[in-house]
Amino acid sequence: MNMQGYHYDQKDGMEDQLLWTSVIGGDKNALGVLFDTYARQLLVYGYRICGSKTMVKDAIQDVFVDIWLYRANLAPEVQVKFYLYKSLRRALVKQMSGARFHHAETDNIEDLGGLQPSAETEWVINETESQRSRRLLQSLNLLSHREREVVSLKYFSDLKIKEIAAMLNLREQTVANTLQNALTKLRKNLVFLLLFWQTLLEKIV
Amino acid sequence: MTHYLDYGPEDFAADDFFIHWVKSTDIEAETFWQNWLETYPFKRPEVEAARQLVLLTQNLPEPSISDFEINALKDSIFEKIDAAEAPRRNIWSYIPRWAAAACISALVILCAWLMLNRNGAQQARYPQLVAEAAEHYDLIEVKNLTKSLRVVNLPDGSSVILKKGRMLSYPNQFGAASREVYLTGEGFFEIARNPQKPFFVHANQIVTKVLGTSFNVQAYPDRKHILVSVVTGRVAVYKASDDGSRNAHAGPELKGLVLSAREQAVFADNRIVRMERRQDPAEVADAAMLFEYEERPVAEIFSDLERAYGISVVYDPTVIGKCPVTASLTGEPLNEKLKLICKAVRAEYTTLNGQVVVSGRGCE
Repeated sequence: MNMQGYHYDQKDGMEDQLLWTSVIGGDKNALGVLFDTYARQLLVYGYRICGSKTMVKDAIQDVFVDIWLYRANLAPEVQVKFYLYKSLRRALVKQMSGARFHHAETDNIEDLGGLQPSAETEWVINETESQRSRRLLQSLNLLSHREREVVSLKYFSDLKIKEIAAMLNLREQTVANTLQNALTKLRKNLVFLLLFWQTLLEKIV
Repeated sequence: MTHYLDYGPEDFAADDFFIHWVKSTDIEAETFWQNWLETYPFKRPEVEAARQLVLLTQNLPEPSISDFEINALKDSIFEKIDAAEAPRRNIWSYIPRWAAAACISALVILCAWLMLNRNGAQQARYPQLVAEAAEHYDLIEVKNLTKSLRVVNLPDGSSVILKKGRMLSYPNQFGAASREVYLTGEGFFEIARNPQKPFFVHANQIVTKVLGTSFNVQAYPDRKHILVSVVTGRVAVYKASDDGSRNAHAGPELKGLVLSAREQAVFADNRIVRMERRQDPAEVADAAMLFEYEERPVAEIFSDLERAYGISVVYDPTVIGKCPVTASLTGEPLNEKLKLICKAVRAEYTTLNGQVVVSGRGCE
């Protein structure tokens, strides 16, 4: 069986493409739909890397306003989701480096004082699963900042390794390795979780 | 497909197609993986571990973001777009719900627009104006490059909200007979009242004269028309090139086209035309940004100020956050607003590192 011909993610890409072309053509509603589609995930991603809702909202506002105002300069053939994430990240890095270091040349969010692992104040912890969620949060804390960002982009935002590499200015291999390391760390915690669930199931059955 | 045979759990978990299978109810993916597992049943434990890993990543904690916040963000985006684009539409981009309040007597500001390609007329532009003025005064130039909103406090207590990318120049001390500032772009002015010292905004070829009021001037260098809109008070608009302008300049009188609250004037085709501002239904409906408060907790007012002026207010919410305030603050310059609020809650404020710090004993 050859799965190469099977493009399961084409559908989303095509809808985005249509919206994008409409925006370039001057359709403001299309911009709104684009916003509706991506706002929440962009907010979550942005907050995960910079820790400030205000900053993320400002950055997202800038991204969408600029898309509209400079739509004449946009390329019609573009990976829309990737473009949005990349623009957001760039806007955040710019804001963060402006806020702290005037001459920051780094893309590394860690150096710019991004989200600290211990900042839990705005995280939603589901009360019914608080034990499990806290454990998960701890697992998250074991990851480095870059590992967390890569995991978030891969699994939450569904970006490809190639896209993540382009966004973070890393080689694809580096991203792949980072992902592997993160998964290995998470898997160690998974053992505890599986045991937890197993004991729970045993009690039910 | 054969490469899957060599995969460990982490490899599966990093594979796009595998992730897609775990996250979706795609029949084709389901078929593939079930068949594959039947062909290679010894891989089941690893596949299962990988599946758990992917599921784990799906359950990572998320920050709490309400639909309300998302809608508010969406609104702010489109407001900003409207403001940047069509001057005739909603230009109150940062104060969309600030309706005009009662009239305060004020000088009329004349905004004169000269067509950029008008022949013969001296086209006074921001850099030239500033260069000239710099010979007489020590000018301070403020550029708003980074924030979406920036509030500038002037030496006389007036405040100006600058849009991103806009510039304002003002002397570090105003002259004896008048207060003059130079604007390129767009600014929302809240001018402290001083009939003895009229306030002038030089924007391209327009001069705006005011005694004390709140109004918006839009004078983009690359646009052909200039727009002045009044929130509170009255303004006079005149062309800088008018002969009468010299007369209009001096003294507390207002000559030229007089605008009242909620009115605006457009300069185009070398003429100044009065326009009735069409009230947006949204503006009328939501009085939240009117800065009219009746027994509202001061925390709410600080939040409104933060949003309107792009500032950050630091205070102890447990001590003064719930103090009720009844005040009418529309049209007052920012520092006046702060003074009035502090008076109401028996607090004081200072500005530190660009933040407003409010401290008080509370209102118990």
